[in-house]
Amino acid sequence: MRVSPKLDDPDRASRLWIGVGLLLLLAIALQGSKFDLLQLVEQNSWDAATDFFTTFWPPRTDTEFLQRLLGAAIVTVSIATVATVLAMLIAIPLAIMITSRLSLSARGRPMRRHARLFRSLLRAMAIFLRSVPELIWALLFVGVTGLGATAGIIGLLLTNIGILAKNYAEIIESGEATITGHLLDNGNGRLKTLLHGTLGQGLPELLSYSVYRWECTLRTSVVLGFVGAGGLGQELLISVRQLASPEVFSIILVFVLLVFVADSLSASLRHQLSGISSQAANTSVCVRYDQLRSEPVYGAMFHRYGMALLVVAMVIACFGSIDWKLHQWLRADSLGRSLEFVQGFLAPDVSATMLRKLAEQAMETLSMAFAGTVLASGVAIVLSYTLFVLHLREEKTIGFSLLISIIHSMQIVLRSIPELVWAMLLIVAVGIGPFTGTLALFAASVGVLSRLYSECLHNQEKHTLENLLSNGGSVNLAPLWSTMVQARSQLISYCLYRWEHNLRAATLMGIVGAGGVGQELYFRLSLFQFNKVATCIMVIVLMVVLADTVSHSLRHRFAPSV
Amino acid sequence: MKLAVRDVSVTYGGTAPVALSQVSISLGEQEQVALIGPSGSGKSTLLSVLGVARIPSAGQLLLEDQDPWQLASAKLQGLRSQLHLCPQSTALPARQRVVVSVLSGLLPKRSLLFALRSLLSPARADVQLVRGLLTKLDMEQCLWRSVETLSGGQRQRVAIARAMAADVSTLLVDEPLSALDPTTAELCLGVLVEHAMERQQALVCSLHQIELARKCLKRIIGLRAGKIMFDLPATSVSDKMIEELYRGHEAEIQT
Repeated sequence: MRVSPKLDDPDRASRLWIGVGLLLLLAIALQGSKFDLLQLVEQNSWDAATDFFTTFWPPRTDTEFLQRLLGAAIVTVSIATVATVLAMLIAIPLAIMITSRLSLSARGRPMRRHARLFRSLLRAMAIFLRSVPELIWALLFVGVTGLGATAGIIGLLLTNIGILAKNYAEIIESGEATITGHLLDNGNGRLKTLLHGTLGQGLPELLSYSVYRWECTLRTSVVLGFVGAGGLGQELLISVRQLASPEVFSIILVFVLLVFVADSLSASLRHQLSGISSQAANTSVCVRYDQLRSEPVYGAMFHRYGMALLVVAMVIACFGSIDWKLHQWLRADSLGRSLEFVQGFLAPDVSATMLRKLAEQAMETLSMAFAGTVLASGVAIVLSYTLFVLHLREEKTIGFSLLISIIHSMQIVLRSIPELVWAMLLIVAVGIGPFTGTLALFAASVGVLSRLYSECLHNQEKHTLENLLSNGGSVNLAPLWSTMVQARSQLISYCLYRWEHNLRAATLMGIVGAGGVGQELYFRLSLFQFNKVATCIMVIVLMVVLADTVSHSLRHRFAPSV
Repeated sequence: MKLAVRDVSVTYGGTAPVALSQVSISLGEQEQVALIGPSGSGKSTLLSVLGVARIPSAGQLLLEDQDPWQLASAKLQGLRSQLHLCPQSTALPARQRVVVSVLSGLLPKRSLLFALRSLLSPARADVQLVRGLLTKLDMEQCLWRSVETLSGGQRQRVAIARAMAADVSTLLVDEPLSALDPTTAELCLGVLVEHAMERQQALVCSLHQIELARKCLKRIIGLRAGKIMFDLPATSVSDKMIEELYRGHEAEIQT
């Protein structure tokens, strides 16, 4: 006998629960981040803000000021470059040690116990290093050794080591195991195996990821000045404190320009790298062995070496332009403070009052990240969907074109200004507190997510959409039934990535007074209470690791690998 | 180098059948052996055990009367550089140039400087060496090409050249001829055997080209279901023994 299926939608309950749960979480997060739109239109804050923002134009452009900005910009670029290069040099051997792919003791038999233990320890160290945001490392070192670029470099360096080691190891492991295995089986060491086995497969990936990392580091390096670690951020901090809006505007323009240049440079470098292998293959196909004397891929090689030489020269210049102030580190008080710092870490403050305070601020941090991400994601969906539909329409009226370019320029402005700068500007308008932090995360995330979402929608297959349209579906609604459905899991995974990013950023908001756990950290550090600082950092690491794990497992659930 | 296995068994765990069961053989210096038998008979496993790439589940591997698995990792790695194991999958990095891939056979015995230098641009003498080897295999046109542009048969010949470049006492080659046409297969096996003879290397080669094996190699070991069915001089192996060895797998025999 055939049982006919029930008429009730079997997925209804779970979908309802997910929806209700998300709304509930959002309500809690809005509450926790003291979200209050009325605050935006309050009379007195409105006045201060209009005073500040209406004097933005004209920006300050006198020569003396511009020279100062140029100097600061060079410091910013140098800090980022030096930190990335040093991190690469340390991360490469670390990655070789971390990955089991290059293990000698595991060849042909299970890995030895001590080797496995050593590997897990290194892995844990890398996780710890990358879970503490760069700015917090920098803040700590500024606290210990005083102001200056060196603290910023070490800050960027430590986090980058963790991130690069993890990704280098992943790239090594994504290669074919038989190739590295073959080299190891024939008696090669780890380094030779890496050079000939891994580089022969994944050199472009390794270089390309390093360049990308440099770009990210530069973005962070821009705000290092907020904690006194030199560069453009310091100029911005001073100007905002003095409410000198024309200066603020000039600095922000330099910010946007710098980020834009780094972005394009990195994109073009990575584009060239992805072309290297196929280019080498194409040029050498027709070459005969009798041309032994001249390198067959001479043009390509020259190009490659020329580029490498240029990069090396730039790196050396960056190393040269840094004022290391190493003597500052060796002064008695710095050394004494370093010792106190280590002692504080060995005996963190876990008293009930401290933990209660931190739990409260951690809650605030989580709320800011969640509310900022969810709201931004909602707005970004609407924006990117609108853009998609506008592109789909065949008649291009002036109104439509205008709307498209307005949305585009808004995206660019929103995403080229870092969250922390948004927070600093918004404090002038909204005042200190987690609400400001949430708005800052929201602003930057709308820019980034709407661009990613737009790209994602444009990259989907068009068959279903075209079919719906040719059958008379409306241009406004057809993408909802085709493109959006296809893109769903990728959109969710972008959103989760952004949430991870925002949580890290939210831990920093307190540094400029925009709420969250960074506030307590900043306060305790200014009192040199290193045992309390240690507790703050542990809470941050815990939150970041937790967010990574949750986001990772959710991504796998919503977007199973193909 | 004297190479021997004693009562070696290998299991891959789970429900997989035993890959090798109580196999004992010993190889004299400069001896040339063909390993034949249907797919899944344990040829690759035996080669990887001989190449110190896989620890046996039971039994012993002996190199110069010594069990290498008792040694520390560094010593073991030094010993591995005395043998060259060429896997069936060829294991060539796709983005490497052929000349570098062949030179990687020399890598274990050479310095780190050689490793770096060859990646940037190989030395002229090394290029000449590689060109010589590739010419013997009718592959000299591919000297400067990238591995990813090669066909399966060309890749196999690059892997053979790499084994020939290796400065070792024993070559262990796993099915080097499977993607080659009959003429090229005969050429390549002949070159490999002659090269090993000149350099006084021992050679163990697994293959499905039975006639070729009987013609070119002096000793033949027949494996079936992880057991040695026969281990005889090539002249003593009869058609009937081959027929029995491949019963149920007749289609696998290549000419």
